[in-house]
Amino acid sequence: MIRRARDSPRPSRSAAPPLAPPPIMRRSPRTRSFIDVQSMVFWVFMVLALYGLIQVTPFLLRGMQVFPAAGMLAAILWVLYGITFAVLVYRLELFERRSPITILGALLWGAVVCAGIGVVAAPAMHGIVASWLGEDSLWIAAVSAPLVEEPLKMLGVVALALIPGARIRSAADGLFYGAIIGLGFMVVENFLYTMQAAIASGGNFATVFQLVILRGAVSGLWSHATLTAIAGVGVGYFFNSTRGRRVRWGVMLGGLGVAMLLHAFFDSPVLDTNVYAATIAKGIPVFVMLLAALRVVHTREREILAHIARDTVPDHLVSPLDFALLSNRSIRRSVRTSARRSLGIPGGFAMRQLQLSQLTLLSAAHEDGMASERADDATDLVLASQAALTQLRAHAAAESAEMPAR
Amino acid sequence: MARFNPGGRREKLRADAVAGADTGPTGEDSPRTVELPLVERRARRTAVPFSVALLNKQSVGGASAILLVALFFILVVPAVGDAMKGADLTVGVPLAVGEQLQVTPPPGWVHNDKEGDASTVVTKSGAQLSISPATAPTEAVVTQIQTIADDLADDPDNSWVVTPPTTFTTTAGDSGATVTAQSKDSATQVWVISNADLQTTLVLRAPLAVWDVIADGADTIAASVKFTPEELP
Repeated sequence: MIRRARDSPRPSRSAAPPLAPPPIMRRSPRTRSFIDVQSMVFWVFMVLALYGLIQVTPFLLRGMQVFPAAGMLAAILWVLYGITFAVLVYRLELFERRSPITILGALLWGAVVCAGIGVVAAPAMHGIVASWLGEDSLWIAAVSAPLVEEPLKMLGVVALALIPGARIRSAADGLFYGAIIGLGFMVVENFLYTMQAAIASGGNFATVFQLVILRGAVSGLWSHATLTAIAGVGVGYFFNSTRGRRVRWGVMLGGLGVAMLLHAFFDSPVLDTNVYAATIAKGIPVFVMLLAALRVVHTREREILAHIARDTVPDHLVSPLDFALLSNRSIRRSVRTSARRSLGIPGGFAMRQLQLSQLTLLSAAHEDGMASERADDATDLVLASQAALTQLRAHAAAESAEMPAR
Repeated sequence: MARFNPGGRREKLRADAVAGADTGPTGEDSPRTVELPLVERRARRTAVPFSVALLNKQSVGGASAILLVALFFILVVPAVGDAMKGADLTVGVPLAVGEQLQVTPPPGWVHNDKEGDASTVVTKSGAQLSISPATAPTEAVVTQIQTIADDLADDPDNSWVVTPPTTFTTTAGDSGATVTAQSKDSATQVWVISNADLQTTLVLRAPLAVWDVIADGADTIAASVKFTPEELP
């Protein structure tokens, strides 16, 4: 068994205790989520959330007070939509399961901070652009909406990245939290649009359903969540690359620029004769860009974790070969299938637990260092999963040894 | 069959080096310093990523940056918007629309008539509300609004989600009906208001992003419609 060198002198449970404890060099964040009362950014986050709540609450409540039934229906449908989308994004993550509290923080930024500031800034920006382009221009929304909404949403990813506990430690993290912030904003914005139409229609349920389909299913899939995910890649890169300042700024601002351009194209009057066909046609570039971004960030994330598996995490916990078997979903699935065939359903389950705990350990080692409490917890999980699998294998071997005797 | 000669490669390298020295540049034809190509400096790499450098910091600079950007959108953008738009209509003072109609706009609306258009146009935040002068009614408001709703549903230039028309009564007691339609990124609302002798139509066109903010004001203007037949010539 080969033990790798640790990246910090603090001992962990998987290593032999040294004779004299060396001084602790804290490399991991202070907190397990974005809630960090010692960070000024956290308090600015909270102040802006309070401001946003004050601004947006009257609009959220207006429809509920006038037509409570339609308001409740719209709220339930949009919350369900948001939860489904968030769970989908969470489950589709290739390697890491991120902190649910930080995910809630990202939703809070999108739903409350962006929406609240947007209530003030969006009308003003539309007025400015209307003065510039003319009140009759069909391009007012296409120009003004990206100028306000995209920077505000990206600011949320930056705010989270400035709080170490949020652990935005890769471009993939930026993409993930960007998607969640965009989702929060999209749900609140669409709820407000739905309620506005519901009020005008006298609380008509059919209107609510129609708008949920239009804004959720047809135009929602490649809307704010996708755009902010693309911008978030740049933020994740900025905070985690060791390239020069110009390159990092270029990538971050470039990501924002791409998101703004795609948003402008999406809102433009081009091809608008049929909203359904136009939305899908305009969504294709956004979708292609997202796929490209996903490919880049997953490649980078895979390289980082392969490096961690090779150089940081002891081989008896996650060896480079183990990581090769963890490196994509289809391989992981086939490994689980193989375990299920040889060890039964408990074997498949134990293998799944082992894979999850090994990925958690790799993430913890990357984000907090191997000598961290989080890595220790993950180490315990890996060892327990390995023990469970060993027990199952021993049991299966004993059973197969008994078979010929019978 | 080639003979094994361990020193052969070394001899060949030496011969090559001697040959190269014979044909190399002399002092006369060697390039001067100013003629040497500039070597581009590679992109600098920082010692640790920014995310690691931030560990255990209070991030006062980062917090200030976040706050400044937010304040830009909260304070600066609205201030620029206010500076760029025209003078607001005086709150509470009725605005005459033609000769037999008046409306009372709430704060923030700007009078913005177009040349050659008989309608009165008021605007706010990129939304425009066009109010037609009073004319003699041709049909009941409910019939008219249904026709408008059908036209919106069949609009060949846009796909609208059209809400069922609803009726209302203005502050002056006249009957009205309204219909709203929403497309992917814009909204429109039409009000038809009539008393027994006169009628008017108000058409709101707004980017969807500002609809929430201006909808109440537009409703207030529609509710404030007052026909003034006594001023007929």
